[in-house]
Amino acid sequence: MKPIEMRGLTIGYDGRIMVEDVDLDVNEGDFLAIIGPNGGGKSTLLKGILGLLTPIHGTVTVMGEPPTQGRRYVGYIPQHSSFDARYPISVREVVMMGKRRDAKGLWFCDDDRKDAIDALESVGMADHVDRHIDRLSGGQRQKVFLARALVGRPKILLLDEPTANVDKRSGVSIYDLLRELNREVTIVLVTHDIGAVSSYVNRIACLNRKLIVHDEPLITPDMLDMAYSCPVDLIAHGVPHRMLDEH
Amino acid sequence: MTEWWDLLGVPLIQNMFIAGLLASLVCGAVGSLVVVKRIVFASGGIAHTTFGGVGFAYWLQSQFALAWFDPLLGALFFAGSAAAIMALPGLRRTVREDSTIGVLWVAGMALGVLFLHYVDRSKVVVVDPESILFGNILLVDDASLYVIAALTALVLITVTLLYRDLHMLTFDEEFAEISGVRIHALNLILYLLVAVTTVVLINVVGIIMVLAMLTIPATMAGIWSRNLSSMMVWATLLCVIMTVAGLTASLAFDLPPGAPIVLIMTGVLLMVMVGRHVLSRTG
Repeated sequence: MKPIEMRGLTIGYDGRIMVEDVDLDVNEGDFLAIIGPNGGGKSTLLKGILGLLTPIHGTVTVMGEPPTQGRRYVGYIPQHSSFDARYPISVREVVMMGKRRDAKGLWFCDDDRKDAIDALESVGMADHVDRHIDRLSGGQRQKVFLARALVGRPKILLLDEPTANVDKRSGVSIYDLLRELNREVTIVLVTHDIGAVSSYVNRIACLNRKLIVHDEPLITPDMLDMAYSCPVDLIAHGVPHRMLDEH
Repeated sequence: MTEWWDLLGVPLIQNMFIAGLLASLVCGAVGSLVVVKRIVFASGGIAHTTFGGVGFAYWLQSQFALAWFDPLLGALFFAGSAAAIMALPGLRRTVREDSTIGVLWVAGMALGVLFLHYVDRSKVVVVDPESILFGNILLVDDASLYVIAALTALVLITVTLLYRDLHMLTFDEEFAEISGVRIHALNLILYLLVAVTTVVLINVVGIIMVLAMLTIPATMAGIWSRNLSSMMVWATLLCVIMTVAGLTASLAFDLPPGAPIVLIMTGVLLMVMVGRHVLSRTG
């Protein structure tokens, strides 16, 4: 059973197709980056995996189950968490919200609090447990949301543009953290920042309505042709290894 | 000569103070949820539809001799219906939420005017619309007080039982859905809580000024509260103090209770905001 399987998946919203006829197998232990231009359907694809959007055609399964069931194995880190910065809430409470809701309990208990601290420790944020979420930098906030995803003990991590609102150094430390986590969980992230991810991931797929999967972290000219608006200028400048194959 | 404080011995006036305290309890709990979920305008819409419900109840009483159909029941029916319509997931996708709110708001008011116009006043005694809209310190009889107490208990029990889910829903709806919170059902429950709360509040401040009790104490509490439950407790305390002060002023100056309560709340909020601004600049 693969963590995520898509067969002929076509998905969109408001009558518009954003992602068309996608076949994709995500294997256990994968660190897959899905790259592509803005509006290419990256976030839509993630919403399909999470069961927030219903497929128009085709299927998607998560741990062999439909997304609304399978998503209990998924830890999700959204690009823009839709929260209000003035919401009165501490870092600890944000992380505790990652506990699955089918574990019943009217109020949070001591176990929840302990798990939240463990998760914060694993991302190096345990010192900030009582701070207000709005007092954190973009990078720190992303780590808190990572802890919120981890506290539910996911088998798969899904990240939407994890470094979009983060300075470069924090971005590197987030990717280092993900590499560490990848020993135990399968990771799928979407980004348009291909330069940064290519030295961390083991597979890259390019999505611009259609998906082309590449089983090595290399960008091929074919992929660029198809996803013509991929940020070409980022490729092979100042990156630690060659991204563009011989051609 | 009787002084105004002698009026505190009048049972109807005492009822009003008890209603004010009960109203403060629901204000603290539901008002905080309304403020953090940013559904203040929706709450205003729900509150105003109760005018239609009050008119509907009087009309039923006069037309069909349904004496048991109390105006509070009518208000509950209309507010609950408006809440249910606003929470319809299909409607939320097709119509902008603030448009829905605006339509229900004015339709409710218009229905109220229409029903009150057709009430046969030889058969039922109708409270004057001004008291319904702006509040009247003599409006809460014993029967109403029992209804208010029951509704208050219902709201507080529901919020307590669903606190964790409501907390998740109001903080991050998308994440709550992924985590297994049934957000459509819970949104409906939240709007229904607002409906029941507004029915409690209209007894104290009248329909027009419900929003003040729902939003001002919670907004003030939100300035210094570090989490949702402490915001609820602070909002309740603030609401109790300011409501009692407002009702007392209403007695002392012979005013309808809504206006002094709202003005005291607004004034205190203003002072808190200015004080905070000054403190942040000097400290």
